[in-house]
Amino acid sequence: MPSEPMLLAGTLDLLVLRTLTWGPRHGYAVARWIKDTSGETIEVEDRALYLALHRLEERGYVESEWGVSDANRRAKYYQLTPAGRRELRASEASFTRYVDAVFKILRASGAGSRA
Amino acid sequence: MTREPRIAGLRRFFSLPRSARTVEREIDDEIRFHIESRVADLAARGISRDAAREKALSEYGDVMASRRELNRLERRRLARERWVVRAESIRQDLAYAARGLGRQRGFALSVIGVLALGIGANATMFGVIDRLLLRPPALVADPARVVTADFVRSFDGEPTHQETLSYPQYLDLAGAKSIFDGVAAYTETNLALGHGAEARSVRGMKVSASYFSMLGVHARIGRLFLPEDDGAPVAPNVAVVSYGFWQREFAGDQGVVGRELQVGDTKYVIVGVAPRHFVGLSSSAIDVWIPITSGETPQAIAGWSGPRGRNGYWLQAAARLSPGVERERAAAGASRVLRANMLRDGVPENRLMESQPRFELRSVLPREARAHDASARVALLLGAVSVLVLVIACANVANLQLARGIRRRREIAVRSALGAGVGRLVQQLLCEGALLATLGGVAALVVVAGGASVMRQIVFPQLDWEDTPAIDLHVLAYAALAALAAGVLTGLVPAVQARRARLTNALHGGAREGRVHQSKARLALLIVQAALSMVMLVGTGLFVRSLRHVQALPIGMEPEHVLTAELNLSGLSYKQPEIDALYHRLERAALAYRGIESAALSTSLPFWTSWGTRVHVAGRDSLPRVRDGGPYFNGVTPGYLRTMGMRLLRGRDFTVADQNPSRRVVIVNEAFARLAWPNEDAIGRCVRIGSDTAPCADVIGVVGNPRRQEIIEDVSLQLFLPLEQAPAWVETRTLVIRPTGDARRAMASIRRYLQTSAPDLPYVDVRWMQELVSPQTRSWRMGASVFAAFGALALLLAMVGLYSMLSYDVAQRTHELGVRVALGARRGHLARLVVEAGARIIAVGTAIGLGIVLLAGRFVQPLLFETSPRQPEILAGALGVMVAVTVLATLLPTRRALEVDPIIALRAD
Repeated sequence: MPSEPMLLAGTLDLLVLRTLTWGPRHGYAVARWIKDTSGETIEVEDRALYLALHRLEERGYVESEWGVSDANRRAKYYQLTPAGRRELRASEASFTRYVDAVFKILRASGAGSRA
Repeated sequence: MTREPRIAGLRRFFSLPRSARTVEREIDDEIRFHIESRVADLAARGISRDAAREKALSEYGDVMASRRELNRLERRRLARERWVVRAESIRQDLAYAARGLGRQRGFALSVIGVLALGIGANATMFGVIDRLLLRPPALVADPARVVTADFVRSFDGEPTHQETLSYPQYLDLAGAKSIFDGVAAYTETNLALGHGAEARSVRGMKVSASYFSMLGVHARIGRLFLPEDDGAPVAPNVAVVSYGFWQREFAGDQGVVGRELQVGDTKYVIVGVAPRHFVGLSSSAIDVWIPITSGETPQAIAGWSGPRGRNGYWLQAAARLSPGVERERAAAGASRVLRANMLRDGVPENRLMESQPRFELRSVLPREARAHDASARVALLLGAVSVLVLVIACANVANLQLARGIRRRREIAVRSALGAGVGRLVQQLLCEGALLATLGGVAALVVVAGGASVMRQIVFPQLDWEDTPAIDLHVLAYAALAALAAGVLTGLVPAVQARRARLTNALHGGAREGRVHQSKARLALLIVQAALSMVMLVGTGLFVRSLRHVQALPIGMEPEHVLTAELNLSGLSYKQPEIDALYHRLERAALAYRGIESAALSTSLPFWTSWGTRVHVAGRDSLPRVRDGGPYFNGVTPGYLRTMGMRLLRGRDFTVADQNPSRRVVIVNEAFARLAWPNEDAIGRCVRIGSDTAPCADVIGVVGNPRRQEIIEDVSLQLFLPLEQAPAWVETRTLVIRPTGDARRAMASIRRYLQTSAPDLPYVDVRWMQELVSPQTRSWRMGASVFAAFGALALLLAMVGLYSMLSYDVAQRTHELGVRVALGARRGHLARLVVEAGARIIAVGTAIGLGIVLLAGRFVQPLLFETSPRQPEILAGALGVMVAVTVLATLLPTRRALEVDPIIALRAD
């Protein structure tokens, strides 16, 4: 399997879907956006990203078609489907809940057991 | 950002799936675009192209692995997409076919009707075969290990089998412990429930307590019998009721356990309910099971199991083989026990040597248990024939399809010119076939429901059907299978035709084109139909004739005019003199009834019971043996012969005066007279019955040769004596009654009359004697009726097929015929054209059918009765019917050909 060292399972899908909310993008643009926006914190192999894109397409969350890039080259554009939009909303919410929970634990004072 | 047109969308719109090659290329393009874009970006930041390329690749990860995984994923998606597309195209084709058939309702309905009859005939026969031969006894655990025991003895080296055993023989089997995991005895008996006029008869079975546990059956409610229910010497009065009885009598009340059943004077406590559909090893439904020993006196049971009881055969026995024990070995082991116990009970050793008594074990699996059952074998034959019926039906449908196909040729040509591939056209036609077959299959269920109820009456009149649907899962599955086969067959013909059609020709030509290559397939199909019709006609003839021969057999009596009445003594403890008194009272009552012509008592009833004895004829050492054994005797009261319709050849019948036991008299049958006094008069001769020291009985009359047990049997030696002079050990009694009018119709009123003729009479079982005889003609009845139905169907289909082809031909040739008429052809010549075309098809088909009949005849021979499969009259009759069919089928088309008006025909162009 491709390495996704910094990412929790499923997070990459979430990020990719998020990236596509602003309109159709090709794979390279998606990769750049994720890396640039995270300030290069999220290091992910492009291979994993493409696998995620194709998998999302298989599941019907995104659809693709060939178009022409800004540099006037043939490129494959991905676009969110309504199902993808719903999926994004759902997994965004559950991810946020999850992260909040993790934070709560990390910031807890640790006094609970004595009380 | 500009974009190419939405190819993917278009592709979906046209239902064109991407190819695997495209998918691979697109993945490569996508990866290449990524790498190159990255290199360009990095280069723009001033990094050297080589370094940029290296960085881009390392950021990407393993490119080859990526290609592989993406390809794998896409290929999976592709396969799924193709399925979706295919499903969609099938849906479209089905919708298209449905629309087309909706427009040609006549065609659709005739195809569905023909298929329904074909599939229905098949599924009906399958239902019969399934029940007769495929299904092991319901709810019996591991039935392959369950066997029934036959008692076999040899007479003059010839083994005779009997299915009924004596009680000691059952104990012999049960004593062979290491061989069997369980042994059970059972016997069917009617039980009279309730008292007096309220009483009624239910189907009962007396079983050993081991019965249910040996079969491995568990109670639906309560318990089944336990070992203590055999309770020596007298069993407790407990009963198990069937599911059906529980539903009918107790409305399925859960509290039924502990309730009582009044049988005679005895109250039986219900201990449990058997599971639904359980009939045990019997082929008829049972209402109540009671222990074999319950309600019997200890003396009676001691009598059964003592040495005397060895000669009373009234039980059936079944056993479960221990694991690893083969049937042959088990039979040998059980036979050893049997012989040892016979010696112990005082049977002389030389008798054992002579008669070689032994057990034979038969599997209860129907394939084996019914291997020699005539009905089962005829059902198999009819099953095979029903497949022919389906073939004929399919041929008919294919024929209709072909006729339509010719008309549709242009439609198909247009579609293929518009770019539909041959595969798609074939798929379309197959879809239509499948649709028709499915509808035909559904309609067939109606045929099955009707056919099954007829077959049930012919083949299984004794079974309970109320809780078994006519169409069960097996039959449904079979019908679906038959429909599938029919769909493929009927869809394939036009599909093949479409493949072969020279499509462009069809487009060029006018409507009249295409007649030229129409014929061959249709001709072949019609010939097949005619051939199979011929086969069925002959089959019908053979079975009808067999049935007629069987029914015409002189059986020496007239069971159709006779009712029998027996007192149901279950649960009652009468002594023999009391029983005799009751029967005599019943006889007197019967004789006093206006609707009864005559009545008499007897100890035996033909086709039901017979008793044998030793007989010595004065002046002869011993009578030569005859194959069917005997002599058998029957103790009767005066009027018996007249009541039964047995013909007195010489001498006189018994009178009241003959009842005087001091003067012994006897009536013998013709076979006895011939054997004992060849070429001499039997009247006045002396016969000693029982032993050679018994007093002389004078022969006062000679009757014909009435049958003893079977319609088809060798003649046996028979004697009739006054009831009072019959041996005291014979305790069976039957009142035979000859009503003045129709016996069956008089049954209910006579039963009511007899029952109320005296207070406190036990329940009187009244039966129509014909019912004892009819099961023996069942196989021929089934063969005759089913063959006749199939034959009529096949014939009708063949006729309609021929008719439709000929009239289609005439319609197609209107132009040609018009030209001929215009050129001066005589009408007679035109008629000959049509008639000849029809006659040739039938002639070839009939000849082929005749060939099949002559070849297959010997397989059918054993199922017939005194009828040769090559009987010339039957073959001639079938030929005659085929000729008549030809005439009927050609009549209308010929008239139409004669009515062709040359002016109209020629103007049509």
